[in-house]
Amino acid sequence: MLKNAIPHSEPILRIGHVSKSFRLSDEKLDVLDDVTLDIAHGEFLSIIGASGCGKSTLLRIMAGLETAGLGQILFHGRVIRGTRIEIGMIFQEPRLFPWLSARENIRFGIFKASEEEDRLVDDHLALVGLADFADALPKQLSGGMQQRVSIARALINRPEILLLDEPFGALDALTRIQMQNEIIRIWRSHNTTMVLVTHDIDEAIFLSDTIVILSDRPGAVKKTIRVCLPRPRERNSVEFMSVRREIYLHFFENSTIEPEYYL
Amino acid sequence: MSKFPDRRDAFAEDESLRHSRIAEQIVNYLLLIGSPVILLAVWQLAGDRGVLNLSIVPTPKTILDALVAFTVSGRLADYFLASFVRVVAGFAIGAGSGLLIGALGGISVKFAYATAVVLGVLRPIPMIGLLPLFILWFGIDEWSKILVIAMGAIWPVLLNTEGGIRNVDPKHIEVARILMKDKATVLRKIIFPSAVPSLLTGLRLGFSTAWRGIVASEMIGASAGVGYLISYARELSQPAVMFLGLFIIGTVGILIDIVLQRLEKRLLRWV
Repeated sequence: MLKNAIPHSEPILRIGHVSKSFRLSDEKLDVLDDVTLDIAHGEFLSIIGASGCGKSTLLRIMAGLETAGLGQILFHGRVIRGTRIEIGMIFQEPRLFPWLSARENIRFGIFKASEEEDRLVDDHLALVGLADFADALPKQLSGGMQQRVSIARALINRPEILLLDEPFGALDALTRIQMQNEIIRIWRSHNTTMVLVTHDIDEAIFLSDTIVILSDRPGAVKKTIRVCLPRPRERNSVEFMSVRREIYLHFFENSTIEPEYYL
Repeated sequence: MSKFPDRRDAFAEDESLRHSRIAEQIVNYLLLIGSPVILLAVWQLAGDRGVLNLSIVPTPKTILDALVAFTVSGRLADYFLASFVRVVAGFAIGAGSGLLIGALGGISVKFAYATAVVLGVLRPIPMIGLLPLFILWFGIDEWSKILVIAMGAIWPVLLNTEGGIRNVDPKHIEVARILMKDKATVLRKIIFPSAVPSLLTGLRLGFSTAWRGIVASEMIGASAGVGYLISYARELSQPAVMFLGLFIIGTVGILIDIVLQRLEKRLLRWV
């Protein structure tokens, strides 16, 4: 597979000189500063940065949940405003509707009503491995299972781009690894462009074709790293470690902490 | 004693744990039922010993006699029915308007502003304060009574409906935005379902307020009803009958609340 090849076609999503600031009582808080980023069709791109660096805000701007103060978002070369059905999003919390079963939560995602609905919902329950839990209420599901439901809900319209805002951050280490494998499987089978925001460097290396490191507030693109490791990736391989080392060096560029300490 | 605890020991411990839990439950039930029984016994004893002024304080036995007499004559059933119909009618009108106004206020901030002052001034007025006015406007028969009860029932329903709708999780609304849902769908599929818990609380509180309103509403111009029974017994100086009326209101009130709480629990299995 040539998933890692640098695509030459027009980017599916282009973030052009996006800046954003919030007003906190009297102070102006600059969150993003002139972020420019191209995301290729079918790419798995991760954005990492320290907490509060504006990476989630950047993702929310891509989703259309927030507007950029300056700059624009181009989807297939056209400026977009607001949310779009072609761009899905998964949040850190599953955000399921507690009064609906897993099946009905997934069905809620459907954009265009059709006669195929039931089959579509069943397919997506199976896709995330929850066929046996179709009628369970969210409170009866574990955190990982809840997040699977929310992934199925987001995928049911076959979005071209899936934005993931620290989707596995609240899960335990083992479940997280399992979910990372699942998301790779879905990415491969659906050919969805994935944009992941995370603060987990290993997660970013394991999943991504491209890793974008944002600087501390205000967030600006500090470094873009292409991860050219073959898939499936071995988390403890020498190559994996060397990518990790490279990222750590960029991460702690201006800090006095010895990066070796973290390796 | 063997070196290794065997399974039977573990079971024995389980068993004794279970026993002590059952014992505790029995004690709790005894306290629950026993305390009112003891209270009644002491009360009866005080009456028999001449500690109480029997012309104004009845004993449990005379209240029971009154209950039997009213039940046999059929007046108890008639009065209860008369009150219950008023309460249900008043509650239906009050809760209906409460739901409507509360929902509009929850959905539209403009509506909430437009109604805030009027509702704010009306709310503190007690039900009984409205009775003379309502008799003047709607006559002395059923309507004035029903509307007084409605005015009591409206507030818990209105406030809880409005609060429930306002408290919708903004994170759920974001999910709907991402999935491109229109306003009607958001209202129907997210806002209303998430308001259901506080809406049911409002209805339950509204019904108990309505039930409490029967004394006030039947104070003037009634010829039947549990509230009427109390005023009528005062005129005839029959403290036992007055107590009977109060007991009926209290007992029915708590029974209704228990039933509604059960219903609430059943409807909110997802919480």
